[in-house]
Amino acid sequence: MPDKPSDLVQGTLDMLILKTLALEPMHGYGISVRIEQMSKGVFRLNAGSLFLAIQRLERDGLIDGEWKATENSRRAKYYALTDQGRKRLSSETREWGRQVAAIARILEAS
Amino acid sequence: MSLLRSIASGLRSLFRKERVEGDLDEELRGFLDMAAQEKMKEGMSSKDALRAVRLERGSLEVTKEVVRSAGWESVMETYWQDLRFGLRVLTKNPGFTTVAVLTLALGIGANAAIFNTANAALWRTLPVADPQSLVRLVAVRQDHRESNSLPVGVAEELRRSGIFSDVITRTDDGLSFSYNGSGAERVVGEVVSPNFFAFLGIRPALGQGFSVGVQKGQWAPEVVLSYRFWQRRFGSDPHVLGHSIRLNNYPFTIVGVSPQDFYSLVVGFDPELRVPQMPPGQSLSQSELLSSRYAEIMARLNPGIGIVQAEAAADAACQQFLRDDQLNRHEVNPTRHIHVMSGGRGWQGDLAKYRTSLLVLVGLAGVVLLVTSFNLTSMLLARATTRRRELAVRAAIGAGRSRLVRQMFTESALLAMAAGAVGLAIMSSTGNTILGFLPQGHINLVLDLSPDLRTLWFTAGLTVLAGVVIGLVPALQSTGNNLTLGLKSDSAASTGDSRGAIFRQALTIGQVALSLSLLATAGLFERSLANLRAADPFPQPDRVLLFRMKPQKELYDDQRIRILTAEVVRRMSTLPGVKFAALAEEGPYGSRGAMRATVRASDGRTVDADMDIVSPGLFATLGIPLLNGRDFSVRDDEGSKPVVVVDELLAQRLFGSDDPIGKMVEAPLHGNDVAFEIIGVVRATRYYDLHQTPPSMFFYNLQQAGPYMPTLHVRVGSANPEFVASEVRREFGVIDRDVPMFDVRTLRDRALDTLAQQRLVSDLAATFGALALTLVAVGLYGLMAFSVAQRTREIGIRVALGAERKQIMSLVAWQGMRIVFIGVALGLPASFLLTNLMAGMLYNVHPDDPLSFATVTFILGMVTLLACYIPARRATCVDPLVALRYE
Repeated sequence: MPDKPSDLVQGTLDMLILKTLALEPMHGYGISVRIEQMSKGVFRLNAGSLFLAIQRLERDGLIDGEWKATENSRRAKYYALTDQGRKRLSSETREWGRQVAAIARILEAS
Repeated sequence: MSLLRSIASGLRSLFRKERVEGDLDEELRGFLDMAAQEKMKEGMSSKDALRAVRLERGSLEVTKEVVRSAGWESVMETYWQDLRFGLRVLTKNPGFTTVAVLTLALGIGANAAIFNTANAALWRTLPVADPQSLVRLVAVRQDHRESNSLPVGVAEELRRSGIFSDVITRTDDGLSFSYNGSGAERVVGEVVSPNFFAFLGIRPALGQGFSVGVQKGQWAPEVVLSYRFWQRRFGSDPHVLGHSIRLNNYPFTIVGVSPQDFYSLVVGFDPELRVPQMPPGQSLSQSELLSSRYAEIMARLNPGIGIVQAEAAADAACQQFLRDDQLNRHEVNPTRHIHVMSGGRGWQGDLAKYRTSLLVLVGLAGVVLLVTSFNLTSMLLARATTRRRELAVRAAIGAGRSRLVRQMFTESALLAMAAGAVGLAIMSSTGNTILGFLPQGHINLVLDLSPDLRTLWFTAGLTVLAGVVIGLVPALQSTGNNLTLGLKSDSAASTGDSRGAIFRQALTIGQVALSLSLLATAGLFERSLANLRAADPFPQPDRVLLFRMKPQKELYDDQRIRILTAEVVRRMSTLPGVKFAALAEEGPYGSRGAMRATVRASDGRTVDADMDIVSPGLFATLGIPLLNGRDFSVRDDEGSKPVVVVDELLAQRLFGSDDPIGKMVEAPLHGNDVAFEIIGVVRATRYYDLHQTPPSMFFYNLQQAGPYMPTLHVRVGSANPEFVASEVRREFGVIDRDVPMFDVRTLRDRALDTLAQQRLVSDLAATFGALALTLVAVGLYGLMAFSVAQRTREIGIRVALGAERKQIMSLVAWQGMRIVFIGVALGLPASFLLTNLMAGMLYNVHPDDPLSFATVTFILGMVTLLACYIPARRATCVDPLVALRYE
């Protein structure tokens, strides 16, 4: 690992989880591994914040959980994106893009 | 939508807690296992892998707590847990809980009771339809004074003007009542306009109220009983409707019973019955009251009309009437204007003068609540100290600080709630206490003391406030320190709680100061009362019986009253046990209002003086010494020359040092100035008012001036006054059973009535002071006992090193008394401030009266010394061997 894992920008974890699940349904650990891989180790999630976010998303109806067997033949809860979740992901992605561009413009202004 | 989902899922978790928790458990476990397996694939041992995962990702238990406590249902659940735990803790210590609840309940109960009374007397709105739209009319007289009494014609004028949606009138007076041939009883009747009940929108408890005919102006002798009179006199008989009663000997038919919650439009007043006012031009010889030409007027605003607007219109509408009305024009002090005031609370009546006393009591009760809260806070702090270990253990196994604070807080809230409930019970069982202090003369003061919503809110508010005060401090205190200290059992930890101890000391100081102020108030009022009692001019007032009687002037002409009253005096004087009997129109402490007159000497000098109309023998009956000349005699009757007796002050003012006997003075009698010869001089007394130095006074002769409603005064010799009272009643029934005799009491009781305002404050302040003092003593004792227990080792060492018992004792006692000294030092100036606010209510006592303050400080000192003495003594009994082995 090149650097110490850094903290997520506030409010982005939900979006990252939605993005991860957009590819395929996955269990909690899978999500955390995927986010770690995709971010090249910059983001490492601890269990508390991950499951808090999962619970929140499930409660809001953005993802749906289902118990299934894993490849190692143990039970795990797999989460899949709902239609609503898909919509939310695309709107949040758009919004994020706008914000990043705006922030970049501000930072490069000087 | 998402809110619904959240609620649904929350409910699911609440009700299927085991399963949901199992799910979360398994999921988290799986997560950590998978992470650990990953590590093991990289070559770690399983133990190292688990450890690494725990470090990187967080431990299973902590994560579970974090995730679980995020949903709202978990918040609910922890509250529920706290509640159950709190109840368990409280029921495990029933002794502590009982004392704590009772202490606080006394504070809350005292406040609730006093607030309830003050509320009923001063602030409550009338239990009638739409009280906000009611207005009462006030007359502004020629001399700019305001009066509630207006010519009845004004009401008619206002009705015609259409400014108000409706108008009523009311007035009241005593009436002779008889039922089924019973002897005459005196009742207070209210004469109201026939639309009274419809106007107020109140449905009678029985019957329909006045008949339609009466309401349309066809007067009929109908009467509506008050609920309480119906209960008292008719035993709540549901069949009274249609029965006939007699008022001043004229038959009336009962047509209704007013509702239970309705007393009257005058606060503190509950007339026994109501009869309709007669239309203009009609009258009944048996009762002048029915066609009374003056009345109090209340009106209802039309919707959308403000008071100012209504006042302008009403005044304009009535101006012409007031100018033309014969009655008003010939009045000495005619009405010039009409004011409109909001009337939702009715007329203030006789209770208005207790306003200050009641407000003072509300304040004093607040001080009591402070003392009880301080006391309880101190108790809880002490307990929190002993619970340090429990709290430390709970913190160590994962309870957050906020959770601990919340837990302690829940316990306090439970205590406060229990205390609030008990306080309400105390309130309803002591509700009448304050009313008991008020004089119950010929018109009773009655209040509806059933607690209303405002009282309940007030009590609930106090309960919450008390809960916060008693809960916050101990909760923060006990968790503020480093909790891990609590786990160590060495003595450093147990004495390391100095912050809590200091706080408890501060609370005790506060209690001392507050109770000092209560005691000082009680002391000052007690002295004022003692001064007032000492001013009582009549010897042995408990052996003077007073009987009021009322021959209705409509039924008894002057001559008949004269014969009757002379007969009464003659026969009562010969009763066994009676030393003297005499009559007076008002008598001592009577209402002085109309009893003033201007006396003119022959050289033109005038003096305004109090007066009374008395029969021969009154001075002897009361014990007023005759200084010069003679008393009236039976021979001074209407045929002989008019005579008066003056007091020494009047004699002195009119004639200086000359002998006044035989001198002539002019005084008004029945509207004319009449020349009277002075036949006697008596000692000046505080005849009407104990609070004031005696004014000049003179006495008319009852046989010449004619009484209206005389009071029979009977001085009892050595016999039992109660026996004599019953003999007098019996004899009176023989003489004339058509004249009601009522309001039987001793002169002492009547004197006490005039002191009601002082007695009210003084007695309750004394009770509160005693209560506060007890709490201080208990609190101080607790604090000292605790401190001695904690210092056992230190004391043991001191004893081992040769300290004497006396030294140990003074060491401990000084620690306690220091608190008292500081408390007194703070309390004295605070009390001076408080008592100076009440200076106007004191009599012949300076609000800084050193004797009162010295006395109460001494009492406080003695009681607190005792509270310190017991623990101090215990400290001297510490056996050094046991103490040093103790830890």
